[in-house]
Amino acid sequence: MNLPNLRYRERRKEIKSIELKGFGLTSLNNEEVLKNVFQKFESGCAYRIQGALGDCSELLKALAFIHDQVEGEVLVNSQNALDFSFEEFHPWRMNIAYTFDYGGLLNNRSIKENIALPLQYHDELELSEIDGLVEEYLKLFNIFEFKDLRPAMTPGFVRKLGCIIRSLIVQPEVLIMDGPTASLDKERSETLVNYVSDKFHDGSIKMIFYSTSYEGSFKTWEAESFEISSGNLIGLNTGELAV
Amino acid sequence: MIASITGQMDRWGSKLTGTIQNFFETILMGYLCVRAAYHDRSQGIRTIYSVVSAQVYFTGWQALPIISTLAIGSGAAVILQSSSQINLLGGVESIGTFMMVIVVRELAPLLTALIVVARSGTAVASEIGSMRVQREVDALESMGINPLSYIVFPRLMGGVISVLCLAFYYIMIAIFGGYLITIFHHQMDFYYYLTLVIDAVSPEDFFLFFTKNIFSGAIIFLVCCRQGMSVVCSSHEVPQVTTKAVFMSIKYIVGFHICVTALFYLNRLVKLGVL
Repeated sequence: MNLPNLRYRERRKEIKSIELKGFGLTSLNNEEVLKNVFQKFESGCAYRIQGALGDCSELLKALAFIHDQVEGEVLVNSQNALDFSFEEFHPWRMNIAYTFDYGGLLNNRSIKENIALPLQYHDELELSEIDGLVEEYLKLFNIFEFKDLRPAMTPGFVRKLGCIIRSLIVQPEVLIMDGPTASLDKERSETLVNYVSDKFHDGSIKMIFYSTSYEGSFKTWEAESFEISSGNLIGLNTGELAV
Repeated sequence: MIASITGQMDRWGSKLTGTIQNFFETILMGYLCVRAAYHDRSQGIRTIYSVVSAQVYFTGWQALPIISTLAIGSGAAVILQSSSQINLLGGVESIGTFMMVIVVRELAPLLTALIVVARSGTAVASEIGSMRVQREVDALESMGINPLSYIVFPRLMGGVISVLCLAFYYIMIAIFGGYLITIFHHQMDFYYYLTLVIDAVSPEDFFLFFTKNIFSGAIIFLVCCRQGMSVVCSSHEVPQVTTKAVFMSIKYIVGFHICVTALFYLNRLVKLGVL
């Protein structure tokens, strides 16, 4: 698939590294997920996060910079992103895409409108170009016939793919996927993994974070694995604690 | 004994600090949403306009029947009551002043605000609460769309415009509808009645009208949006915050209206040299 040039792509800031420094994380039910973690994630690598189901999601949400209950520092290219206002962080945020369970698709918009929203809102392409691009993605993942339905009227895998496509369509450099293949069949899972793998290998996606219980297809790229256990982030490849 | 008194004082203290905190957080949200809308270069007029117009349709247009009923009722009641009482005393020209004092200055802003709280405040609080539960707000943030400028600001704008228009509509219906309903009860000429009402209007009434209605609209939608945004993760929080939003909105609106009215008449007394 040939991706069009986005109008304001040059306004985005490249993310070379994300570093956790003295990082702590508390879940919404006020349970401690991580405490005093030191870990650097570099551009050009893929990272798989494992651990109790909710814990992975909490860490991925924090890496997408939308988690409120964090402490310590999260450095983006050596600058503490937690000190930034929403507007100040915007140039980096536009390079981060985050997909999670059913992706919070807006209920009052159709699947197609939901997918088009980030491009439309940020005026990245002409409306006709956005339409064409969204339809190409919908055909790639074989959900074109659902395009005009609202999320509540579609099966789970369509909502799942809707939020995945919405994150891919903005051409991010950092891709965060929380259980991306959950509720997808084998064929669509492989389409997704192959697409992301191609983009990762051609360098357009530079950093991937993901959590999955279905490892099979994800072996197409070499990921560094981390496990969250008893408040620690443990590097499984090295066996080291991220402290 | 002492423990019970200190315990009671603790409860009062925490209620008071909670109320003060809520109040300032609501004001802060108002400031932040205006700031976010100003700084958000991506959010074009088209995006804001579509949400504002939808809000005006739901809050303003769809509330017209109930506002009409209330306005006709209150207008007719004021005309009937005042004309029958005044006729006994022989001062029918005071009917315009009664209409202005009771309906235009007090009833229209207050009843309009209460109707908007009941119809739209609840809808906004529960809609935003549901968006939080379904993580739509998280999704917006992750797409670089500030929820304050995308969700709160257009609703605030739409709400203020709707309340202003509804209050104006209320006044018109109360003045004209009230007259028509009571036409068989009295022999007052319409033009004479209209002249009495127009003569009773003072420049301060315009100030009072805009102050009460603009702030009422802002209070309702800020309080309801803030309560909706305060939902954390569970759908059973949604009705709870909706109820809280209604209670707080009514509390703030009534308090605000009493303060404005008191200041207005205090100013009158100062001008008359009484104080």
